[in-house]
Amino acid sequence: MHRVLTLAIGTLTSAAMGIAHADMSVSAMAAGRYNDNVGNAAESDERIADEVLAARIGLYDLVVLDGADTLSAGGDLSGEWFDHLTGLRNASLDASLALRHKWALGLMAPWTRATFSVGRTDSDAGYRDATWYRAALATGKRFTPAFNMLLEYNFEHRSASPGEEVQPWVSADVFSGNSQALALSIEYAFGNHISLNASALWRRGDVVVSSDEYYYSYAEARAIEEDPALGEEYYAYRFLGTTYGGRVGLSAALTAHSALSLSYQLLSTHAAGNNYRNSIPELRWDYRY
Amino acid sequence: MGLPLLRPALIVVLALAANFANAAELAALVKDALGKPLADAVVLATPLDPKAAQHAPAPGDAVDQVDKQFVPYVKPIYVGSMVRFPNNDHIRHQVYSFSPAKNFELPLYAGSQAAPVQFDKPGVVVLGCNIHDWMIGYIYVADTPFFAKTGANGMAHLADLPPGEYSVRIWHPGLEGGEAATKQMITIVADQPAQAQWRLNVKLPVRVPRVSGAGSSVYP
Repeated sequence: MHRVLTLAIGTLTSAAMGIAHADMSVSAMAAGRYNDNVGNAAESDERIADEVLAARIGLYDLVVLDGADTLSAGGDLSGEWFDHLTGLRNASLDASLALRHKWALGLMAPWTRATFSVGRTDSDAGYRDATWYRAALATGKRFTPAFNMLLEYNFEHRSASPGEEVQPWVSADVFSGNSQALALSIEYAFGNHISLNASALWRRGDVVVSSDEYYYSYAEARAIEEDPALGEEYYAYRFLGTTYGGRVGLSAALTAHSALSLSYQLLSTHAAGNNYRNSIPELRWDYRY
Repeated sequence: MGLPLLRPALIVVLALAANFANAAELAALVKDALGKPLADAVVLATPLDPKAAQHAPAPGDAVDQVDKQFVPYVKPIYVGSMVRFPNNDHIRHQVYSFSPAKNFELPLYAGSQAAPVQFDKPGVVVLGCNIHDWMIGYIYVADTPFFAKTGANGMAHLADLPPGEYSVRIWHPGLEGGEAATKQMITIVADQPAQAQWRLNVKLPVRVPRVSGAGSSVYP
């Protein structure tokens, strides 16, 4: 975690000094959320809930190539602080490059954006550390100044170090994996202070499930390794699964540069013949300058 | 030789000077429906005597760009005026308008590179920046030389009004019901300041937020 922080501070400082006259944007986020099923348990008596404090700071530069094309480059430093599951506390550093094309002039013009991101997450439980790569393609349109819509597809690859083998012939590389996701988001502003946002999510790919029961070790498990961050005798299993989710949120503008939001997210994952549900209410503050 | 050319100009100047000698001021107070002072309302006084409205466009009108916002948010000008769009940000902007009163685009520029734009048709011109979608500004192209914009206290002072009858109306970006419904007939008497008040139904137009609660950190 310290390695990530040192690297992050160096990168952000040099970026800020080097691009004094660029179209820089600083963003920050702080959130408190409650996850009722951190380990993706199928049975209700296995569920472990926790409160999470999350924060992110980002520095992005907008390079205007011409009137229609813009290149956005930058990075984020973020972290999550779990109240009880201390092994899951983590810090992440990521860098993104996004090319956006606007298909016409003006506020209502449709646009398309391709983004490539790479990031590293270090957890207190070191076996969960991973480097991830994400490619995303998004398109959106603002139909009125109050109504905005966005559709995004992304593919993610995570690369982690395998743990100790638990079961012969079964991989112990649980925290590596691939997934693809599609999200449709809308935002509607009721005046200049309150806005409603909602999104629908579909995700297909590797899912990590943690349990203290060993019965999950069916042939469907792509990988199994010990997961002491969730508790003694816990094992993490990687399955192929599909997640359906929805999120609704209400945002209040505090100033021209900041907003406070309250949201609720429900995720339902189907993998290896089981269903896993997460419900996540969140209170969050966003800032951008 | 120069005298024949100068004579008409001299007559206009003398006529205007004679008018200004007796000119008076109209102090207009504009409030919203709740009685709060309304800023950025344009007060327009149209003289019933068209001769009183003969006026040259004022030079030097400008709409600046500061901190990725148009400054001022509302700029009233007289029809025919040239407006400069200096960019005081350290980045480039691409200013445009699709409004029927003036459809134009200033390709990406920094500093004061953009050529001034002439606004030759009365009406409302909504300004935007193609790079920063939240930037919005208004130019009100007035068909009368007598206008002023309200400040934060809701007051606008129309100075140097020649004596006579005026039809006075208000425009605001969020005005409901149209300008015609705000009309008041006001008589300006020489050397006597006049006052008038309006109470308007206003619904502020929705502006694209700079920060979204749905928030991704990728910019914009």
